[in-house]
Amino acid sequence: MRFEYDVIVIGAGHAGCEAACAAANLGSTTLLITMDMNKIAQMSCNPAVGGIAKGQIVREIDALGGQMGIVTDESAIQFLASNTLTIFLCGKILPLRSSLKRVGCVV
Amino acid sequence: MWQDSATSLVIEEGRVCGVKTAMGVSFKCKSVVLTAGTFLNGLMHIGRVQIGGGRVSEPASHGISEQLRDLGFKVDRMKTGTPVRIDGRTIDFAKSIRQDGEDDYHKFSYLPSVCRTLKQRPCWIVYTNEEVHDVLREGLPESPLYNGQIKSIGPRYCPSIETKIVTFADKNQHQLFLEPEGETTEEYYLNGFSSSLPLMTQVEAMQKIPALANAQIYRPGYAIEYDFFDPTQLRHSLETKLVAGLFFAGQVNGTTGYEEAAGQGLIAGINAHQSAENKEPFVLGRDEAYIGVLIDDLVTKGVDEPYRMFTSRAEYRILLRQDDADMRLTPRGYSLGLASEERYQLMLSKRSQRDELIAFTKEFSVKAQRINPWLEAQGLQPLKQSVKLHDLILRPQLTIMMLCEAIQPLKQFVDGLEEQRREEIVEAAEILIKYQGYIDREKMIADKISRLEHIRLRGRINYEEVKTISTEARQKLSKIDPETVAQASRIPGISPSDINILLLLLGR
Repeated sequence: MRFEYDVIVIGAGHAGCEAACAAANLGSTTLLITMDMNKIAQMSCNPAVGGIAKGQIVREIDALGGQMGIVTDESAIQFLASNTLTIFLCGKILPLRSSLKRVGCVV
Repeated sequence: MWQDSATSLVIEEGRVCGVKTAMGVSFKCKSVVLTAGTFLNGLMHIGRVQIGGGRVSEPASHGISEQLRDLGFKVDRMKTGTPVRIDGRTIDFAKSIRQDGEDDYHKFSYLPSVCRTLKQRPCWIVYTNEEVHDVLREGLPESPLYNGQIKSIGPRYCPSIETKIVTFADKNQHQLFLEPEGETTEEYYLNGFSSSLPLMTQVEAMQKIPALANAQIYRPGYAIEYDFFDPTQLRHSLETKLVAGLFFAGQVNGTTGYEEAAGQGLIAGINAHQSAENKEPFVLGRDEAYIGVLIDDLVTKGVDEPYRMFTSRAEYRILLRQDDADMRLTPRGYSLGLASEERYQLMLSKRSQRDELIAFTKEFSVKAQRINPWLEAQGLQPLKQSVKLHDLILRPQLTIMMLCEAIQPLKQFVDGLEEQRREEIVEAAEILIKYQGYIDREKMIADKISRLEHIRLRGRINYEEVKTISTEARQKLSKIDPETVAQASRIPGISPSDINILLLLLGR
């Protein structure tokens, strides 16, 4: 049991999961502290990812080597690309509850 | 992972060096990322019922806000809310409008190996009506938002249903979406019906919607108030100015949204690592990424309501396109060591295929007499003389994929592109061809501004001693302590003449 880390992340929501994955993938020994391991990357409100400007953020996270794009694609149960005339991706995605397990695995 | 509640930070000589938990465990570390969401002193409201907690059925977290306030952090409260969750077996779908998704090649990940594999499900559209509004209006005296029980400010762009009937009193209906919560579950989310009215008011109002007349709910909507920290207390790395090695991301910075949270989390996680290794902070510019715009807005302007990202917040939105986030950012992620070799090679090969396609269109001549019959058949203006294919693509009515029908060599070229990413590559090339003029102009403006981005300001001027700028400018520059002249120019209340004075003082 290790009690000393480079990085500690407090909270395992969407910010915490990206933070912990990024720090760990960069080589830091990382501890993710969460009050409930069954609620990792829980979608507490709307079961959707993306939308105007938010879709671009997800693309940027993916381009940098983050997790949200991958997990969302793999757990999507509906996709809408409004305004496909190119400049904006307004994807609307309804990920699966069991995606919690996925994020858990990735973390 | 460790399942527990963090209750305090260990801070020595202005630097964080550990975390203590409710179970009495003490962990040591070099940096900490705080992403507590709505859990810090979270308080939920359902009518007059108030429950301490961070999310339905989950306890709140106490201790860290109090500790940070004592250290001098500015802590305030925000509010958000969520709607009822409904048992799908009790919804009358025949009385709602089905909305299917699209079968489209777009997706979020640039990795071709990542794709959508789950069974796709429809959403359903329903509307509120005057009867629904009457029930809601009767419940307003019991509404925590209107009886003074909740004082903090909620997200402007996802107002509760009671806020909608008050703010938009002339509307006789509001559109709602029933969204399935998973591939196999019966649970539905009633998008647009967020509420903290009493349980029975929510149920009675909902049941006035024909499709939901007999609906059973799993749990009511509720509002939640939580602590956040004024984000002007952060640097662009998301490290706090007060405590070295301590980073904040997500709702604790006053933002709303999963994507906004994840974007900040990524940057905070990267910089927590950089800090632990004594390396330079990783910062994205406003002309590089929406994430850069988001963080610069937070640390420069602060927030007075939950911050949601919009395209309109970015001044360079033609540069910040979804089709080329990989071109913009994968090289940066790769040089950090976060984006993999595979991802980097994929970006390089997409870029070269895109550029080869553009070069082909610039070289290939289209003969007027050969294309005109096809153009006329499409109802389009024929060519007067032969042109380069590139010029034909500039026409708003035409796309590369359409032209493949008429121009065999183009079709052959497109067929030769990597199959899995063919549409993505063609889209990227087409955007660059059609919008090149706009893109170039925006790049030029961004380059001009970036001169100011490169003039460092922090630590070079004692603002209190500069009497030639306004009192407001003195106070705000001292508070925000901007990194660069460009950042100073974005602080609300700082005028162009203040900036000129700063430039003079810097010897420019």
